Amino acid sequence: MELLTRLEEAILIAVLRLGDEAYGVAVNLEVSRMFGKAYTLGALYFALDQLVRKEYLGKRLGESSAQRGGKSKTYYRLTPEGNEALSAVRAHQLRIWKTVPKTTMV
Amino acid sequence: MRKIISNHDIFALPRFAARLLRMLLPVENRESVMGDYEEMFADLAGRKGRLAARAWYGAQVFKSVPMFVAGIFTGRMFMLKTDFKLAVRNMRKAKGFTFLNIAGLALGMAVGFLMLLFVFQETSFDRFHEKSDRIFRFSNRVRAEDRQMDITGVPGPFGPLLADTFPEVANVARLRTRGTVPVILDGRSFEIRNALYADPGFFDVFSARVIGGDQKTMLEVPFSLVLTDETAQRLFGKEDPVGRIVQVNRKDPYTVTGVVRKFPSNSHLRFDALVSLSTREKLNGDVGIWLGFNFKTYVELRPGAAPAALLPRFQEALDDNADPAMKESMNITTTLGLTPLKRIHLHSHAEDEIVPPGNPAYIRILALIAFFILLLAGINFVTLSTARAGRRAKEIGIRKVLGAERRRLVGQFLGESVLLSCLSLSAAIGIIYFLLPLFNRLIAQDLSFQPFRNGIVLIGLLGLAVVIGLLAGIYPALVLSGFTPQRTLKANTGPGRERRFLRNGLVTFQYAVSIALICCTLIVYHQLKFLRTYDLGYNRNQLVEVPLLGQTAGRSDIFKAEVLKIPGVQQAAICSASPYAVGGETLFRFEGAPAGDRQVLPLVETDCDFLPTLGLSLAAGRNFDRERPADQTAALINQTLARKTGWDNPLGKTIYMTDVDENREFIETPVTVIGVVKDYHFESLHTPLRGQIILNRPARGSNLLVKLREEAIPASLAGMERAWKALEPNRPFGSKFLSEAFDRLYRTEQRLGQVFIFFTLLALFVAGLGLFGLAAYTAERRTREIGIRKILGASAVQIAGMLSREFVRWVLLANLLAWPAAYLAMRTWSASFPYRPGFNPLLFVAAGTAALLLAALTVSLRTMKTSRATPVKSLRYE
Repeated sequence: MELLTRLEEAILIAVLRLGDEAYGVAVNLEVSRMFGKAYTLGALYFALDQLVRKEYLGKRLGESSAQRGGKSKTYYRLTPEGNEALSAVRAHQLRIWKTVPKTTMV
Repeated sequence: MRKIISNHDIFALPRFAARLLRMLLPVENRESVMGDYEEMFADLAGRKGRLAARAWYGAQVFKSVPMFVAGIFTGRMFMLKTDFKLAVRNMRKAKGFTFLNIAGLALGMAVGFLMLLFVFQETSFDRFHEKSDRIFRFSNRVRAEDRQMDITGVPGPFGPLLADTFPEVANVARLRTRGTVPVILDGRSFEIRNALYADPGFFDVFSARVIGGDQKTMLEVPFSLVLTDETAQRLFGKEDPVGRIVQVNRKDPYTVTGVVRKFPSNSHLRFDALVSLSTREKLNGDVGIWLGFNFKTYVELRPGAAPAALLPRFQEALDDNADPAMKESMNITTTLGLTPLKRIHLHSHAEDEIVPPGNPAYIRILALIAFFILLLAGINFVTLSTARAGRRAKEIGIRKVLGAERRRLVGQFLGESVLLSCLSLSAAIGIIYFLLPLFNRLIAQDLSFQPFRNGIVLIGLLGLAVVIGLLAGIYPALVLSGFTPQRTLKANTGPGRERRFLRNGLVTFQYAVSIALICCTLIVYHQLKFLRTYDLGYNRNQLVEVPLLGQTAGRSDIFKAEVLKIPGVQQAAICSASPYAVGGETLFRFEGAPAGDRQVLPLVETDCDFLPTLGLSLAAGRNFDRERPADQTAALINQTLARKTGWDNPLGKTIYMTDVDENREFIETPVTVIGVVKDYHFESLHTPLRGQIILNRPARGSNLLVKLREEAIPASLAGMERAWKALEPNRPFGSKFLSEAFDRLYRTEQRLGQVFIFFTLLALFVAGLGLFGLAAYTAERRTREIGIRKILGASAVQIAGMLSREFVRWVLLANLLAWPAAYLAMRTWSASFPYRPGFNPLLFVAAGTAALLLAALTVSLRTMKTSRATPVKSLRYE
């Protein structure tokens, strides 16, 4: 399995954390907070679409609101494959960090 | 959808940016992404004011452009991947359909590409010469009395004269055929097949690759020999041949002065060796005289020189210098022409071309037929695809319901057809490898096909495959994608019914082409059979011809006497020509005609056994008599000539024959007519019967004509060979049966017939594939109906008949289209034969019946299966 990129990882974590509230604006806010910088929606959607295509994320159309000019939200949700991909990244991180002795770490 | 229920002004959104965003977003995301933007915009507007929000919005959209564009592309790639998967699945699901489609298209492509190869070969002649645009060859129309000939030869000194007097002429090259050169090298003997005499100008005019020797001098000195690399390899192997000496004709030593790369096959010049022209002058001394037209002369003009303006001046130069004997006593006129080098192969009419010239009409016919077959294959594709529409209608309906755009469906179907077309291409390449040897034999060419050595060819083929795929796929794609979901999903009455007319029309067209081709084939073979069985006026069975060589030619009387001793030999005659080809023509003047009034007539010089050997009879007078010395100057004429002379009684009249003596002076020899021979055909039946004179001059004979008895023919032939060996042990004995030689006269017609058969079979096969697919489709659609009919008592045969009836009607209609087309196409061809069978409508009926039977067989192959199925199964269907 191909490993996730940093951004993809962050998006999946954001979706996981947001639970039922994971839609575009919320995810963007969460990710921007995680990295401490504002992401454009375009960059985010590119990654979101990829993740949907890879079937790590599922999406469903939600309700609309006046604030959105009557346009409905798309909610994202982690699929089991997405979950697996996340834990794979984590396991990988742990495995490679284990090879570095603690004393050499700055 | 776009209801505006908001507490802020939506029109405050920057309009341009919003529109840009809408444009960039794919449909499935558009709604929610734009909503997200608007939500953030509203939030920002509430906190920081509208202006800031607008700025933010614009900047956001602007910054997102690259990512959205990238998103579109990766999305496309992904869609392509799914489309591909779908296409493969579809093909797997309908294996029969896919096979029919690929097979038909592959065959069509293979034929089309073979034809392209042929056309490229034929139109690329002599383009490899660097200066090919400026090189011209003289053509020469020689007119003597009532006869004219197109040849390529001009007098020997003409070329050098042009080079000296015309500043526009940059270089001149002269060639003369030398024929086969027997060579002895280190005691081993070889034959160099096609040798040409060439002067040093050869290398100035033509772009020959010199491998060894000095280009400037290699053709200067007499007895110089320049070999092609192929010949050098054959004679000398790996050794360097330059400077080596070989014996030619057992006596003259020739020096090998150079080696050149063999000319490619698309050259009108084909030679295995060049001999310096000065050799000819040493041997025959006729290079410098103005008599005769034997030197092919090529001029390279300087850039800017106009050949049309120069030609009259060239003609003048030739006329000024022409041999007076030729002009006055033979009354010969010559008209020069200049043929551009690149046009020689396809546009020369000369009779003495080294490589037989190509025939543009022939190329056009072949290309047209190939195009039709490719068209048939394309039509197959269209009919099969639209016929399958019913099957795929549901898929399309559901995809549309799920939100597929029409454009995307069209793209998908086009993609599928291009994929099929590319698969067909790979099959076609295999077929070409398989068919090329056969095709080469049919068209008497030596084409080679190596797409994997030449990237451009391969890319070209791929490009063609894509274009064919698009062209064949566009109609089905538009039809299929145009289905409305409501109709396709409703019931079993899928669309496609209303396309029946078009489909049937296309099948009719396919059969019309096939039937027309069958008609053409039959017409060609009908003509061929007529030519072969035509009564020539003599019996060619058991007639054998032996070309005389060396001692057997010198002492032909002894050889003939020996042959006559063989028990199986009935008769034998020495003669100067074969009875199926004119051996020579000479000028004659008839008694009573003015001195300048000469006629060119074919003659045969033979002995008194000529008539009995061929079994010819006399209409008047008598045959030559061995016992009468006066018959040495007697002549026989045929009935046609007797009519032409206008004499009431030709017997005893005198004909004056014009001969050339050793000093190239003309002398008249009188001969007396002693008999009139009943007409017989002494030429191929391509030309109408002409007058002929038979002279009693056996010493000039070059052939022994032998009539064998029917029994023990091999023993007779062996006896003749023994007689030959006793007289001339050094030369091989050769004999040929006249009936075989006669068949060879019609090789062109035979080849045309074979080409037609080849293409007809292909066309029938392709059309058959299409019909089979259509029959399968119809049978499938009517599965339920068939089940009900069977329950009500219809038999399998009845049902098969019912299903086939419709196709029969269309094939019958195809006949009506094909017959006039074939008739018109072959009319000119038939008319070119002076002897032809009458028009036979039975041929057309036969062609139609054959096509009908084949169609019926094809259809019933498929329908029998359906009609035999048990009703239970068919009623459960769907």
